[in-house]
Amino acid sequence: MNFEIPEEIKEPQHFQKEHATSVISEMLWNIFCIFESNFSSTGWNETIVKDLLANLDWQMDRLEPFLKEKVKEKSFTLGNESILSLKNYYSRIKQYLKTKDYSRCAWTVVQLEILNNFVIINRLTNYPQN
Amino acid sequence: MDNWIKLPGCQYITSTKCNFSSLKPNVYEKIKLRIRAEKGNNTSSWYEVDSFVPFLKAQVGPPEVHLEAEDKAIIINISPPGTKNSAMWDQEDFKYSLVIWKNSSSIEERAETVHARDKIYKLSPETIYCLKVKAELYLQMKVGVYSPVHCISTTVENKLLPPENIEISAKNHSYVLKWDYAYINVTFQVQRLHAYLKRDSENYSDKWESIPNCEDIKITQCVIPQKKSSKEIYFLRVRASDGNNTSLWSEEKKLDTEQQTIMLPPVINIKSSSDSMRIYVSDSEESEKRPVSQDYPPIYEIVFWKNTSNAERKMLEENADFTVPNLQPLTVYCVKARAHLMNGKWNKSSVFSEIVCEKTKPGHTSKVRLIAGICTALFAVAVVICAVKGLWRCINYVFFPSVKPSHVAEYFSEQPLKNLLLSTSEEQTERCFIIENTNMISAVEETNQIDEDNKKYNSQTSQDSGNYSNDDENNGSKTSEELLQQEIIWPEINSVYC
Repeated sequence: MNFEIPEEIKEPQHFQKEHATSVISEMLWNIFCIFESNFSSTGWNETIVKDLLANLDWQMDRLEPFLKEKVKEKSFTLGNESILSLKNYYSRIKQYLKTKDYSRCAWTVVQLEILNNFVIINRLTNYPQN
Repeated sequence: MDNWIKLPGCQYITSTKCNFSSLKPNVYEKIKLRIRAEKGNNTSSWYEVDSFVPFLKAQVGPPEVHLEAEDKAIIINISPPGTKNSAMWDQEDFKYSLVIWKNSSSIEERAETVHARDKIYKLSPETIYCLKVKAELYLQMKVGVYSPVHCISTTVENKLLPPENIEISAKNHSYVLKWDYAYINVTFQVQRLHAYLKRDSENYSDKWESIPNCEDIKITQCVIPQKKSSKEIYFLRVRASDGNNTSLWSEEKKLDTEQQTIMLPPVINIKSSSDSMRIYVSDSEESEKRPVSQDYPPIYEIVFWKNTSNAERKMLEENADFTVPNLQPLTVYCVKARAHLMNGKWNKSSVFSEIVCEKTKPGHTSKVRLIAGICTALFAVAVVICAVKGLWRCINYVFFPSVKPSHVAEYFSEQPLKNLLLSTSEEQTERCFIIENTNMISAVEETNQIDEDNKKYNSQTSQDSGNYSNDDENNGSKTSEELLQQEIIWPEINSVYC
């Protein structure tokens, strides 16, 4: 299943620091939302998923001061193309889960996709910034 | 080619407004609209609206607010703007802010940022309060419209007061929650909530957990065990009970485990020269095992002074390795340091480290003087020895004229020595290759000890070594790129399907 992640997300060298922060924030929030939905078909240990949610929340909590600062400085470019493409991408994933009735098979596909998401977030975080 | 479709809810309307939500378009993609007027059989030409992205154009509407009153607090329950399952704000992380004031005096206003389900504390009982709420999207810089004003009256003061002045401190490997309570003969109950449950607008009121050993306790403190990972955020609350009545819950206290960890003081190492000191600040061994924050490097505050004076120099350094210049030689200077952590949410500091004192080395001029002095002394000694020798010869010549030349023995001892030196040097030149790679080793093994051939191979291998190092660089960067690429395992289209 190809959810068509936006190509520019995979290449961190295109992003400036502030832009990367908002992209990471958007990704974390959407992944948080996905794992809040019904995963009972998977047989996953609930505690482990709760830990994941807690961790994602922690990361977003740490990013908040930077986002607030950027809003004050108004240094965001409105109509950010990448953020819109990302929202579209996560919309497709959520729609997929819904149409497949949150089945175990569907969750396995989504799990693999999110694993790759984390690789990308890692890249965006670690890439040496200007 | 454009495939224009009729917009439902906007056909043959008489007003200049229409609602096309039933279409459920993809709000993140550009759409184009065109409008025309019709009268009987006459139609105007199409007016095309500039294409736009609905999500970007949309304004954030007012949220829905429900209130519930306690004696000194108001519980608010905010529903996100837009309808349920609205296509527009389906997956948005709204942040809410409200303004509250006493109905009697509209001047008094207090602004707060709140979660979707939250409590507003520090209110007076039996007072009418009014408030309005708005929703915001930080990332999109969208500030919504305020909700209509909602007013509610706080209740009569409860018989049993809730605990107050809740404080959290870290102790060994756990956290200690302490609070104040004016009365005795009550028991307390402590509960905690994972902070992530407050992130969306779901009802978490049944998700509070009791803390083991803190249910029905008589002391005003509770020990909360700590998990190994230090990335946890909780909300804690306490209430009192005297058997018959139970107080309302206290104000919620946020426990951020990273905020509670104690910062250990850093360790200082000094390397001194004659006019400067190079200072290395590093985390203590214990800090390295359990770093306070892996994400934010600490800033070091250095206090530097001459041992004999009280004048202190204070510096803030981001680099853990820096130099203090313009110092006097052969002087004792002392340093102490502490670490600061500022992550945008809070500031934390360690205590000062132990004081480290060191003496600067002797100065350049004094060194020169020392060397000059030593040279002069040696020279003087040499002169004296020569003078004494000369005098002795003179005396010998004058008083003891027979001479036995001793230089013949010297000559004989010198020659074999020279032969030895020559033979060893021959052998040594053959073995003076610096082996850098396997190519060189094979080259050396093949040759015999012929000087000319050795010279040739010398130049060759030096070239080889040059080339080899370039290759190394290219290979190195390639492999790191390959690694990055290999990390991503994109599922092939046909491999996984449901």
